[in-house]
Amino acid sequence: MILQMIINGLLVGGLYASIGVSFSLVYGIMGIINLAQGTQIILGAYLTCAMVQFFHIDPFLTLPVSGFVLFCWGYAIQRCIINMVGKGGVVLTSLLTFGLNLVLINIILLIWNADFRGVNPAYAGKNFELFGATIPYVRLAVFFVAVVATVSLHWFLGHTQTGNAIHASAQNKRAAQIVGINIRHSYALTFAISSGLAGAMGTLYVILKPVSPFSGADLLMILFLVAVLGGLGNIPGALLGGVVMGLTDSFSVLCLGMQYQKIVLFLGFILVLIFLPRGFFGRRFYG
Amino acid sequence: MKRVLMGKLLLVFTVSLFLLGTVAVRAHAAQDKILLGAAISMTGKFAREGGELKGGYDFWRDWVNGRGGMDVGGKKYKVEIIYYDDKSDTMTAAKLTEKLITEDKVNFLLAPYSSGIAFATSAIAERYGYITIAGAANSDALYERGYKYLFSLLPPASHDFNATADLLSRQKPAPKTVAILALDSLLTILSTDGLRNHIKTLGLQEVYYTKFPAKTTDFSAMLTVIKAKNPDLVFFGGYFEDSVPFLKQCKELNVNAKAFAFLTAPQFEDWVKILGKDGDYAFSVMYWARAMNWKGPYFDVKSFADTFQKQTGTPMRLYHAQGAAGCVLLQIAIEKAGTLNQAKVRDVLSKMDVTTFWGPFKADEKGKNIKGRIAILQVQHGKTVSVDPADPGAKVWYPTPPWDKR
Repeated sequence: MILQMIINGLLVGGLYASIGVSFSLVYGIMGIINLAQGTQIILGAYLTCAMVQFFHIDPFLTLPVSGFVLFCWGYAIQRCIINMVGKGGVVLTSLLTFGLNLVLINIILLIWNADFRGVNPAYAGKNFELFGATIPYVRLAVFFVAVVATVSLHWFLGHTQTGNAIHASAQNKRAAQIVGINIRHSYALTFAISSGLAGAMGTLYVILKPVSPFSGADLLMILFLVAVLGGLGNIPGALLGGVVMGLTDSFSVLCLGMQYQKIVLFLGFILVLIFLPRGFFGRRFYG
Repeated sequence: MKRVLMGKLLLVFTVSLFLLGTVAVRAHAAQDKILLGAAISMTGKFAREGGELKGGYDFWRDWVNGRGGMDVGGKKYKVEIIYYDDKSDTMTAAKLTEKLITEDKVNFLLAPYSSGIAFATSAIAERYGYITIAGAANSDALYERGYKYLFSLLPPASHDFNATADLLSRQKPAPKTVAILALDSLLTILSTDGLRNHIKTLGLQEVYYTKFPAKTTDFSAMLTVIKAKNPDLVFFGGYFEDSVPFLKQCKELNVNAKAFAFLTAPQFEDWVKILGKDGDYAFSVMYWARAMNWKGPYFDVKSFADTFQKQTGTPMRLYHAQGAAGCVLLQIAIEKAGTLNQAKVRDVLSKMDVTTFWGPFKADEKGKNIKGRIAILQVQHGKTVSVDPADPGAKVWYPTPPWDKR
């Protein structure tokens, strides 16, 4: 049972990590707490449901489309709206993203109504046994895609010119401008990458769980926890944060029962905040 | 001098307000209209259920107006409904209910969705002596507060799972062990607590019980423990958003049982649509099913569904019927009382023993519907059928085959 618990925790932790990274990225680079991030994930999930319904395709194939649509949305929103109040500080931008969140929820409600949506491909539920533990193929695939997306993003930020420009914008805005980096574009790109990742994670999320237009609020809590545990603005930290959260979820149920799961999680969260206020690998900027 | 002037102004203002209020009340009567008010969830987590309930209210209003209105003491009154969105929030619902009573001066209230919200709104209604016929709120605790103006359309929530346990205990091979999972909320805890007591009388052994918090979407850890206990029956006291990932994860982790019984959700089309074949064999309970075949003064089960479809152009869903049934009950009571006086209508309701298209209604001294019945449903071939009472040709599918043999 212990091995099964570890596997459960790891598999769910991979998805937590990726959605945490998408949130953490924007804060790390731009200092913006994007309260619409949970609903952006849900929008990605709804896009997947719509594509599966209309084109009868495998939900995993919709991942690039939902990622791309949210990428474009994120770029446009940053350039046209968030950029306008970018200098207004964290309170103003948080208010703005809170408003955006409400707008997004209502857009989803208008298009798809309040019904729950989900996808259930024919292979969902298939599994294999490994040393007595049951490993579901879908969860393994979701974990794999989520980790690949996160690691690719880490590589992109560290090894490409655009990634370096994003880094530079976060470290020293004025110096970045002096060397010719278009800060507005860098910020818009950062927001777009974060939204695109959210869209892609929405696809993975809806393969596992049903969504409603209001599910974003529940996700926001996971986003905060993972990002803060790992250190806001830190990809390896968010990965570790996600996995720790998944494992804590699993073992608290085994040792204490389901009703104590959240208590244990938040107690652990408070302890991390006390002893490691910047999370596991927290730094000042993204890297 | 200034104080005297202010005092006079205040007096004039108060008198004007009073006169305006009187005129407003008289205006309702003069227009031969009965004004109803509902603070209902149009957005938020109960938007779906609240929206359907509202659809039922709207249907009834149009239907009754189409017949010339409600007959009160030999005079026909058209019906009008004022709606406010409670945003699925208890405090908002309470404020809006007070507004409907004190500012809009509605003649009667229509109830909100969920026991939690009705808990607050019925307290306001009781304070002002307004009747609440709760069409979608049957938590036992609601009716244990000594209220005189609160009535339930549904049977008490603590009995919700009992009929399913009765049915399953009669199946062969006989189940012996039970696992029970309960969402930590007012209604679901009541239902599962009722079940925990009831299974003792059936000789079933409880091998696992846990509560889980709201918004849980990952049950894998809990299912790992359940798998080790290997129960014959699994009772899941949760809602739509919990039950879909729960059943999906049962399959993913190969957790099998002779039967999976849910409190609610399998009766919803989208539940079956999302889960496809994996939803087959799931049991659920419902307060109303076509197989019950109730006949009432205005509709029977079939004619209600047909009229709803014809009048609104949309297929009837459960909460549509629930909403309309509450209104029909109120209509019968008002017409029988022959007055719009809340206390007199309440007296009629408390003594009434009637069957509508929704089923029998007889309130005990606490307002609980002691004659309310429950139907047991099962998903078969991707469709929800009633197995007790049984739809024509329907039989219970038992035991549920393991996931890899489906």
